[in-house]
Formats: sequence, structure tokens, C-alpha cells
Amino acid sequence: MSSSVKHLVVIIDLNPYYWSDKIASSTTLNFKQYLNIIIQFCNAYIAFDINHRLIIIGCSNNETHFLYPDPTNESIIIPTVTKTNMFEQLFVVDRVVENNLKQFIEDLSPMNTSSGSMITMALTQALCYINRLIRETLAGEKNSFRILIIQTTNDTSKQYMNFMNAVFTSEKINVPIDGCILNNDSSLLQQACDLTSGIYLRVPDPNGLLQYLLWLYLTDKEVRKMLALPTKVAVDYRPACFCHHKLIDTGYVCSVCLSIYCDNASTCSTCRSAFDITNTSNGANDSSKRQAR
Amino acid sequence: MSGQFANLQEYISSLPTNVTQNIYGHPASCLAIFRELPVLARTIIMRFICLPNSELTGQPQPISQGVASSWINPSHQNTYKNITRMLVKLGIWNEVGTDWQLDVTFRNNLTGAIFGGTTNWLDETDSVSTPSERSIKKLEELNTYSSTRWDCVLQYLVNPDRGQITRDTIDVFVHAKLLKRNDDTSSASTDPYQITGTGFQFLLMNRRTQVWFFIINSLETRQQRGEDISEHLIFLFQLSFATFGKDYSCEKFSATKENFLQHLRELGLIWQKTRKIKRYFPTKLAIELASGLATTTYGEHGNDEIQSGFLVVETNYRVYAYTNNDLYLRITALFCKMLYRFPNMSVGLITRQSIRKALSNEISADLILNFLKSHAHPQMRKRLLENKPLIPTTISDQIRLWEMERDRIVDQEGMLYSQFNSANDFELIEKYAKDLNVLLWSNSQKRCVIVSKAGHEEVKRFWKMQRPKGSND
Repeated sequence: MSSSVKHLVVIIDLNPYYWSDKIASSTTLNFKQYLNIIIQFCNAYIAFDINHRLIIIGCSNNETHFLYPDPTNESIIIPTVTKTNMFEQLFVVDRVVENNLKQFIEDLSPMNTSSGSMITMALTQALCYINRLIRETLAGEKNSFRILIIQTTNDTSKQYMNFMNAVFTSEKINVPIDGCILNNDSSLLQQACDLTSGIYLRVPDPNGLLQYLLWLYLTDKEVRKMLALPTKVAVDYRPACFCHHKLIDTGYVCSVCLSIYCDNASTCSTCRSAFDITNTSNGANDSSKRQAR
Repeated sequence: MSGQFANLQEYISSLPTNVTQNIYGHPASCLAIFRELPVLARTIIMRFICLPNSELTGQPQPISQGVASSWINPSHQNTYKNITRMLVKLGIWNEVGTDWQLDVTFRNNLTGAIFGGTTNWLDETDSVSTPSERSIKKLEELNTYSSTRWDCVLQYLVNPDRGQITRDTIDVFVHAKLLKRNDDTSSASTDPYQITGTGFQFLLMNRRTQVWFFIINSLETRQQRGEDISEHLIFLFQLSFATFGKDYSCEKFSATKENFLQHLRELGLIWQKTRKIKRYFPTKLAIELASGLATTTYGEHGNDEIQSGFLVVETNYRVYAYTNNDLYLRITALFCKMLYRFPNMSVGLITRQSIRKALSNEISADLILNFLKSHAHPQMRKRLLENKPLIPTTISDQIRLWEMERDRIVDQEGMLYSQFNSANDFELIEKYAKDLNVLLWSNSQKRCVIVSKAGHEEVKRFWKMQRPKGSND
């Protein structure tokens, strides 16, 4: 029986733009319920197995923050409250997350124009953290890592390059990325999950979020083999062009460095190689214009 | 014997129903049992828990068996079936018509443990008493305390003059058949008890398994005395989720619980300054008791710090034990020929004789190897970095070979048929026995056939039918 320590990094989207629209409608989840569900999931994850370790990273539209473990105070907090009706360890975790979350939300600066969340920033932070843990692994110890992204906002194609780089890194170090999205389908997240063999799910009914989280995302690959999983949808593999960060179906590919452009340019902005425009204007356009898939 | 209640769920399902129902009445025990279930079972229970209790009855919502099995991949239906059987046996699932229903107390307390509920986890009565300096016990002190106490208990097994233990503990040892009464009163030894083969095996087990084995037997002894063990079990589960280095109150404990507390104190599972101070500290031994029993194989986990490694095994069959601990040296001497003893280190040699001596004491090769592995010196552990096995292969193979040597002879009861009058008769019987698959051995020169005991009646009848006049048995 292997007793490997299983680390899960949960990246939660705490973008205020998404939730500010939601206040009026009562049918869907509100922010408080959403946080509640996530905390419940985290509790369940820790309680599920003695070898489970949890890391929570929150991200908003312009910054990210480690919510758990506490970045400032890593010493063991001995709970001073003796009367709890919950598993003591979880009680401590919840308090830490609650405090950090409060701090994080209070510190959010409203002056920012972009509405997309810094998922990429959080993802790279998670990978750095995992890398550190891998280095600290002792001989004979077996660790496994997993990242779960809970996203609410739409993709920003501006992050395409950085995001995909992070995804390829995590594929290389064997860290599956699971994606759970509340809003519209996300093509970036879909690709990330597909490449790293994680599970991607668009939650059809946000009220059932907890159930989806507990059923699909609590366990790792070995158990998932035994479950009947939702059928995979066709993955949207559209890339974003390097010039305008737009998702494109067809585009131009640099023959030297494989950068993608939506428009015909005279030089490649990535590798600075000059294209022979005269040649392309002579009707050989089709040879350089390829389906960028 | 280490197979006896190898895990928590087997033990729980062996308990009478009223005891299990009592245990499920507390969130700590529910969570502990939950954690010991196979991972698929846990996932399924999690899915059940998401559903709110039915509004009409206040009972958990039943789910039809068909729906539940559709959650599982068709290729793993067998695993699923085993799990349902186990859950029903544990009383966690009830079969209601064609539906599965989660036990209501179990559900409520498990959700309470994970998501917060109404039952109080601890029956703490006093408000936050600021931990005064004098009651705070240093963490290392707690560790040393628990290991000296436990060593003391083990010491008694090897050397009854040394360990000071109470009557209670001796009773448990006798109940667990680790000790037996010394009937041989004529001999010079004055000890009333003698260690058994099981006792030797017990010494070589890793510490967590030892504690677990001991506690179960201790509970059984108490059960025989007519005590209600559900209270004790819940207390043990509470302990296993306690925070290390924090003190808890035992003011409201009943007399039996107090008695059990003192028993645990003797074993080193908790620390209490004096009986009068109604606060206690759980030690690592107690905290690790119920958590993760499944991982007891080797001490590869970092939490075996209590017994840091001291053994170095070399390919020349030498064993170096860097310890002064008399108990460990005695245990090592069970399978080693000890050569020298220095102030901080002793040298032993693994020989065929020493291993055979251990084997005749009912100690298996696996136990010896596990002991060597779990107490390996940090220097030995470095071998793992180079992807070598912890114990040199020559040593582990040789120990196993020596064990197999003992199994060269297998005895089987049988019946000899001989003095056949003709070769024909012999062949007839030989063929018949062979067809029935009861032939153990035959020799056509000596005209002998040996038939297993089970087949004797059949062959005899056949022979009588063939030769009604006379039979040669």
C-alpha cells in the first residue's frame, strides 16, 4: 500500500466583476454561498484522507494571494477555542482561510480596467510552489500533485501565451489540471485540462456546485478510473494570435518560430525574421496561410 | 496473528450492533471510520452526503440501487459490489426496498465533523483557560515520555523484573496470548508468566501496529469484564484527532472512563501530571492510533520519529545497532548472534542458527525484515536515493531461504495399499486412485500405492467390488 502524500492546489476565482452582476438574481449562487461551498469542499478534501494536503490560492482581476497555508505565519496554531463542534484541525483551517479571505477582499483595489481574472498568475504561482515541494521531497517519499481551477469569469485571450506555457510546464512535471467553470465554456481551460489529462466541467446548475466538486474533484486519477465520468465534449483548440490576442480559426504561422498571426506581416515580432512579401503577393499566399490547429 | 483485525473496519464490523450504533453517535468516530474505508467507498458516501435529509421524515434520502451503481464505471462493478457489502456490514448503509439509505446518525455526525454540526466534538466545560506556563508540556518531552512508557511495557515482556506495569496490563497480555502462565513451577525461574511465540512476534512489529493490537485486546478484556466499550472507543477516536501539544480537560469523566484514562496514561498514550490535575495531553502514540492504520507497513512515513533508526545491516551479515536501549538490543538479539557490546553500539551477526532460533519462536522472516527496515539507520536510508533496496538483497534473500528450508517437508495423512497379488491388481488400483485424484505416491516395483485419507473409503469400496473374496489393505 502506497502512502503517498497528495497535494491539491485550489485556485479560486474571486473576481468582483462577476459577482457584482449577480446580486439581483436569486436563482443563482451568490458570493457568500459560493465561498461557503468552496470552504466545504476544502474541508471535505482535508477530512477525506490523512495524506491529503491543501493549498488555496485566490485570484481577482489584478492580484493573487495564498489563502492557505498562511503565508505569514507557518507555525502550528494551537486553537485557543476549546468548544468546537467540528474536527479541530478543520476548525483551524477555516479560520485561517476566513481571515486571509477577508484581508484579500478588503485589499482589492477597485481601480482596474481589465475584467478578466489573473488565473495565469495564480497558476504559475501554484507551479512554483509545487516545484519547491518537489525539491524538498525526501528519499523514499512519494508525493503527487494536482491543480484545480475554479473559474467564474470569461477567458482573456491576452493571457493565452503565458497560460499555455504554464500548462505545458505542468504537463511536463506531471501535474494534472482540473477545471471547473461556472460561466460560459472556457476554451483555454478546456485545452489545459485536455493536455494534462484532468477533468473539465462546465457546471450546468451552480446550485449543485458542491456535489460536482465532491464527486469529481475530490479524488485523483486512480479513483476516477472507477467512476462514470461526464462525457468529454469536443475541445476547442483555437489559439490566440500573438499580435492582437484574439482567438482565431485560421491564421498565419511564422515558418521559423511558429508564432501565430491573424494578419499578414512583413516581419515576425517574436523572432524578427523577415518574410518575403513579394513572393506571397504573387499568389503564393495559401502556402503560408495555414489552419492554425 | 497480526492478521487479527488488521484494520479498523474489520474490528468495527465484528462489534455488536448496539456498540456500533453508540459509536456512530459521535462525529470523531464517524470521521475515523470514514477515513479507513476504501477510497471509492468514501467517494460514494461523499455523494450521498451532498443530498439533504428528506424533509418529510428527517431521514437521509434513499437512492435507488440502480442509480448508485450507474455512478460507477461498468468495468469496476465488482469493486463496487464488494464495497456495498462492506458498508452494509458496517451498518453505514441500509437496504430499504430497492434503495440504499445512509444510516441517519452516521450521516449527521459525519457531516457535522466535516462541515460543522450540532454535536459537540469535545465535552469541554471550562471556558478558555489560558494555558499557564507550568501546564504547557514541551513537545519533545511528550515524545520521550510516550516512548519511555511504551518501552517500559514492552520491557516487561522480555524481562519481567525490569518493567513496572499494572495488573490491568498483565491481564491484557495474557488475554492477547502474548504471555502465558508458567506451569512449570519446578524450574528455577520465579516468573509467573512466560512469553509466547505470539509475544515474540509482537515485539518485532512496528510501534503503531503494536499499540493498535494492544488497545484492541485491552478493549476486549474490558468487554469481557462487562464494561461498555463504546465510550472508550469514542474517547480513543477523539484522542486520535486531538491537536498535539494541547491539553484537554477530563473533569467530567465517569469512573470507568477515568480508569481507562489511567490505563492509557500507563501505556504512554496520554500524559497527565498527577491524577488530581484534571487536564491531560495526548501524545503522538494516541494521535496516530486511529489515523491511517492502513499505512502501517513500514515506517517510511516521517511520523515514526519516535523510534529513529539505529540499525545498520551489511552484506557480510553483520548488524550494527547504534543504541543503548536495552529493549531494542534484546529484540535484536532474538534473531542475531550478539558479538560485542560497546557503550553506544553493539555488533551482532545474522547466522543460520540465529535465524532458525527466531523461526522456531514463531517469528517469520517477513517480521524480521520489517523490523530491520523500520529501524534502519539514516545512513542505510540513503541507499534508497540510489534506488537500492533498503536491506541488501543477499541478506533478505538468505533470510527468506532459511525460512523456506523449514518448509521442505509437508506431511499428509494417507493409507498404504501393498502386497498386491498381481501386477494387474496393482495397476487397477493405481489407475482408479489416479482418476479420483487421490493418489499420493505409487511404486510399481514394490507394488505399493498410497492413497490420501479422503480417498481411502472410495478406493476400499472399489477394491471390495473387484475382489469380493479378500482384500489387501
